[in-house]
This record gives sequence, C-alpha cells and structure tokens, in this order.
Amino acid sequence: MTKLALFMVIPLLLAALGGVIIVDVREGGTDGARVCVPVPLALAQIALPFVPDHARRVDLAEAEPWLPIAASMIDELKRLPDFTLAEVREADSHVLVRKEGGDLLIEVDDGPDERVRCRLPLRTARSVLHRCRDGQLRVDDLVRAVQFMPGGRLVHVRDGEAEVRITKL
Amino acid sequence: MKTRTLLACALVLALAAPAVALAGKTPAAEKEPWIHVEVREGAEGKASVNVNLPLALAEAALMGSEGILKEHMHVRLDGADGPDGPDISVADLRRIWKAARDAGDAEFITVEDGGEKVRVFREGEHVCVNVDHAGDKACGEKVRLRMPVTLMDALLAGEGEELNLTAVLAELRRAGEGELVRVEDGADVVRIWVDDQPAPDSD
Repeated sequence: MTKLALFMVIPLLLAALGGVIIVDVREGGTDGARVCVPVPLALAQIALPFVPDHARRVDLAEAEPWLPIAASMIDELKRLPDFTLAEVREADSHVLVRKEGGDLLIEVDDGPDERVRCRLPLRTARSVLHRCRDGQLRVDDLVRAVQFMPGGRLVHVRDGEAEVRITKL
Repeated sequence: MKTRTLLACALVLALAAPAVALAGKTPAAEKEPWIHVEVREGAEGKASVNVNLPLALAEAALMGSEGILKEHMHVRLDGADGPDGPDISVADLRRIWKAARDAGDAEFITVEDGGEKVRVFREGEHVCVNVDHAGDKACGEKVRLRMPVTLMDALLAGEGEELNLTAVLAELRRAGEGELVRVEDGADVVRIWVDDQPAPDSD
C-alpha cells in the first residue's frame, strides 16, 4: 500500500516541483516500438552539475548580435493581438505561422500523412533570451525557463503512422 | 448592515472602474498599420503566400538591429565591380533621385523593345514603374510599382551607402493605407500594400 502511494505521489511531487517534459515516440507499423520518456525538470536540475562543463553550455556566439532583435520582436509580439503572420498554401501542403494568445504556433501539413504542430510560448522564449550571456546559454538556465513554461503540447510531428509528441505537464 | 453593504459595493465599483475603462483600450482596439504581402499563383489560387507584418514588429526588429544593419546591410546595387556593367551605388542613386524629384511630373525612362515596354515616371505624389511584356501567357506580364515620393525620399535619407529603413517605416506609418507594389504575370499576382487590418482584404 505504501509503495502504491509512493508510486502515485512521487510523479505528482516532481510535477509540482517544476513540471515534467514527456517525450513520446511511436514508430509506425504493427511491430513499431513506442518509447515514452518522462523527464522531471526538477531531477534534470539536480543532475546537471554532474554533466561535463562543456555540455552544460550552448554556444550562441554567432547568433549573439541577433538576440536583441529577437528579444524586441518577442516583446512586440506579446503586445499585439492574435494574428496570422504567414500562410502558404500549395497543392496539398499548408504552412501557417500564427500568434495566438501568448504563443507562436507553427503548423505544417504536407499531404494527408505529414503533419507538424509546434507551440512556442513567447514568455519562455523571452526568458531564454534574457538568460543568454556572453554568447552562451547555460543549460540549467534553459531548464529553469522551461520549468516556468505553461503546460501543454509543445511539439507534435506525425509522419504516416510514426508520431513524436513533446508535452509539458 | 445596509450601510456596510452599500459601502462595500461602492468600494468594489471604485476599484473596478479603472479596469473597465482600460479594458476597451486593448492593443486590438488601436489602429495599427500592417504590411501585407500576397502572392497568388494560378487563376484558381493554385498556390498562395500571405504575409501579414505589423509595422510595429518591423520597427521593433529595426530598433534592435541598428548596429547589425550598419555592419551587414550596406547596399550596393547591381553587385560588385562585375564585367557586366557599371555599379550604381546608393550615393549615385540619391543624386539621380534628387534630380528626378525636382523635375516634377515627368517621364524619366521609356524603353520599347519588341514586345516589352518599360516606363518610369512620376505622377503626382507617386513614382511609377510600369513594365508590360507580351509574353507566351495569354495575359502577358505586367508589373505595376507605385511608390509614394515621400517613401523614396525616406529610403534615400541616409548617408553614404546606407538606405534609411527607419525613415521608411516611419513614412509608412505616416502615409497610411495604400498599395505599394503590384506585379501581374498572367494569372500570377504579387501585391504589397499597407492597411490597418491584421488579415488581408480580398482583392
């Protein structure tokens, strides 16, 4: 009984301590494998100090001059009402980039079988940019920004029967 | 008890009033200029591209990029010193524009070559470029570029080899609604225009 209670309480506790990112990969076909990896962000924070130093930083030196532009554009996007930034239609493919609420949505449909849906919370993007220093982004800063990200589906890619979903709880 | 209830109601109303007043002033309610780019391919809209860019977003990008623009966006028209002909620098273009601007309404360039006719002229407060090409397609190719004189002034308001994009955006904001570019090639159409709607109006 205690084990069952722990089994139920621990995931809830981890979720409460900063959320969980769930990566769910399904291969197509009848024999296709399914891999579902829940990544508790609080645990990721704890594990990061044991990761080699070079792997704890993302080099953004080349992008650094452009970061202030991205930051000011995100600030402006947050202020603007919902709108469609770009839409491309061609034969049976469709691409849509849209600002909706506090998110930037990217939708790509290519034929009946290929479909991509991405949601980028603008507040999180701004927070990540704010944490970039000296042309580098520390992975623990990135994890911290994701911890405060609102929950929901972030990425959904479907290619035939294969699917990848990334969700923040 | 009744007095207390009335006081509580009054307090709630007093606190809520500014919020109610501000609620009507959402960004959506303000008239914001939008730049629209529309590309339609084929008579039945076989393919289409729509881009809706709020001017404020372009301004924000430009504000954050002043240093980068100076470093990366020096403009030299017609490429580097190639063997195909002389370059036209922005400074040269500025001098040509000054002379053309002072000439008032006039036909600056007319070229007729076989089935192709190119005209560059000023019409009131607009500089127009018309290209008509009787090609293979039934309707032929037709380019109509109509740019406000003030926009050209703004574009060339910089110094040296720089185009003044900040001034262009300020001018677009000031000038308000209007079509800037229309290219028709048979059933294909490219349009660039400014209005105050986030979604484009149909043609």
